[in-house]
Amino acid sequence: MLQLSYDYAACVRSSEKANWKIDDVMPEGTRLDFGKPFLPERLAPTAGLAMLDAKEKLVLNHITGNSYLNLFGFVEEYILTMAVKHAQAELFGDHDAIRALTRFADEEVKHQALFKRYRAAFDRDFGHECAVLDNAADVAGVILSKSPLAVVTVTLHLELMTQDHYTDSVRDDSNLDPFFSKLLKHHWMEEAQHARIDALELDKMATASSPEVLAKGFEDYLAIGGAFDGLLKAQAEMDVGSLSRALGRTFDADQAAQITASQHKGYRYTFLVAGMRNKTFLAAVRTVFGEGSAAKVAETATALS
Amino acid sequence: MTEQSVAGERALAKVRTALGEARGNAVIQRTLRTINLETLSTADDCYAFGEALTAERGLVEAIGRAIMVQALLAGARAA
Repeated sequence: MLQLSYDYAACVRSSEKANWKIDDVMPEGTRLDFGKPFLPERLAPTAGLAMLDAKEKLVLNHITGNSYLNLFGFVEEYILTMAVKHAQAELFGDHDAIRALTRFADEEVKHQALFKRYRAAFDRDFGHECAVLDNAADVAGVILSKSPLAVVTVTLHLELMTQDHYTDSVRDDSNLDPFFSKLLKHHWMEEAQHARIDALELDKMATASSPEVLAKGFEDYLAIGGAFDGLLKAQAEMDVGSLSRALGRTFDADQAAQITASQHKGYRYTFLVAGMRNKTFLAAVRTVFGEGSAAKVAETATALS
Repeated sequence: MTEQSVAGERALAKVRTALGEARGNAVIQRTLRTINLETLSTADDCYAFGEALTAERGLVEAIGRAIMVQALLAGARAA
């Protein structure tokens, strides 16, 4: 059993308190400002790219910011389905859990709508075509075909990781674009509640799972991470083309490989390693799946770094 | 006689919560007989129990569907 200091009712109260409207965060017609970086160096590393000058690195940072929000839109597609399914499982059961899970689902759809509005503004204001992954439904299908325990575990990983992005790297960085920071702040405010709901769901599922189901859940968690890494690599490759179009310059094969590798490494840290190294996540893995599984997660994080 | 699993207890609690103790217990006993089980000891048992409930119309069917989803989340392979 996970030692949790909250319950579903507390999650509902926090959700009601944190709730915001899309129009308050990003009114229709908001123009984007490309004068400052969107993401910190930790999430969008460019320091090692000697072939780019400072202005070009800033452009790459904006491309990464756009891809970052698109990737969240991606994962929120399957998280929405998961939350609705878990709410359905609670019918004729715990009403606080149903409220927490349906609010969770509503907030995920809202985040998707916010990111969609942001991405439309980016496409309009950036001035150059930026390629992003666009098969969210297919990816959701692959993830949801895995063990439900793995799906919740991946979701906990993602929600905790999102919090780390904001609190560790964005919140106190005054060099970042204030509007992009505001988007991440509002995302974080609600994701913090979602992580708690994930932990409650994981705990509830684990207590009803056989050792075989638990083992399969952990195996599938690692498999989902591996599949997601393939998507991150594909996005990194797309970013090189987007950068080339935005700058109006071509890169030779070696330069393109260096940029792809740097982007891939950044995405890996952002979406995989940051979650795998989150202390709360590791503690949950240790409790639910065992010490060996927690060690395997730490090992995988090192291998991906 | 096999032991009632945590998932099984949760499934049966849904029936009693929705229908009340007396009617709930009657539906539970009748449904367990239909699927030739005395207890719900695995997630697959829970799924079969939920599926059997969906043979009835209305509220009982809805309870059955919720139990089937709950069983799938607990690792039932019957999907």
